[in-house]
Amino acid sequence: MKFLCLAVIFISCASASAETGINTVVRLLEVRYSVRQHGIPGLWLAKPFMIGSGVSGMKVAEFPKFRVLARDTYSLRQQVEKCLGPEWHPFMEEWSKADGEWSLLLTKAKDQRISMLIVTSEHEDGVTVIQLNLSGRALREWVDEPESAKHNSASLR
Amino acid sequence: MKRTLLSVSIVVAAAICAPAQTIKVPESWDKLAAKADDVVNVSLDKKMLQFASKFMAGEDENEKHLVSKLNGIYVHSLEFKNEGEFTESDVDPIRTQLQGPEWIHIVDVHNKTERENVVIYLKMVNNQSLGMAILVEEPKELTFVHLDGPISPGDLSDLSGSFGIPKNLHVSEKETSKPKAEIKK
Repeated sequence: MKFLCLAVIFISCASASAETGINTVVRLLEVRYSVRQHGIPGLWLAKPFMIGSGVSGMKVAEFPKFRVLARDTYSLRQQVEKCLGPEWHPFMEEWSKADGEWSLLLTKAKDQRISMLIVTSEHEDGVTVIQLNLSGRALREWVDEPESAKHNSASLR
Repeated sequence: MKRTLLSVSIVVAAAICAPAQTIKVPESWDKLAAKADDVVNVSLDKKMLQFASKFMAGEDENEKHLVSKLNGIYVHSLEFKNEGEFTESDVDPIRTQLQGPEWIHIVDVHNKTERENVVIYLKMVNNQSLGMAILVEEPKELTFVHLDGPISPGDLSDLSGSFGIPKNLHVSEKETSKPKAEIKK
């Protein structure tokens, strides 16, 4: 059964389009854990509030009733990186046992633009996957204080 | 002959494709991470650093120049709920990697009051500094920083507090002229 599951994940990764991103991770989570994502209706309404923040092109997928277990984070991280491919670079990983929170941040630099992909698992909110583009200034803030990046991502939701 | 050529090709390809980070974080740290209350791993490769440096300006000019030259910044931090959850044997595999002829032990500070140990190693090749490793041990916290690329001890203060690197790290050039100097904290 485990082999079958791994085979399905491998095939889903292999069949992913050349441009990997949030959909690749959502597909991986859905196959690996048999869960379904919930989109966020009316996300476009938040766009005006993002003007000036240096953040654009935000996409969000939520798995509200699902949490990643601590013992599973290592192998999930490996699979996420494998599915996304070498163009995505793991930037930061944070695990807090007390809060039951895990965050993985990956970045992709392409054509003078930085895309960031955030996978978080929180005790109250479940698993959230976010993809966004960062301006130079926003990137500078996030890179300067990587630990605040997770909190920045929470405030974007 | 074909087999030999193939083997050589694989070895060469592996060497070319080897990641820039030369210091391996030991597997025992994965087990420690499972015990830790907070785990933070930061990994910034050359591409990311160069991109970030483009947006530094003004007062950050020194830092911009420094960051643009680096090949990578890697930070591994573990924070525990109780004291005594890690031992010297957990840190030894990292120290062992820093015993090679290229690594020079330049700073060693033991703060008895705060029970904090800070050691800094400098990678010297052909009289040029090509990297720095910092190990900070506190009763409940363990931090390892690897700065890969040309960097001098005096540059540390420019990076301290940024990129996940612990704050208040500063080493003067004078202090590093002799091995195992003192660090201002």
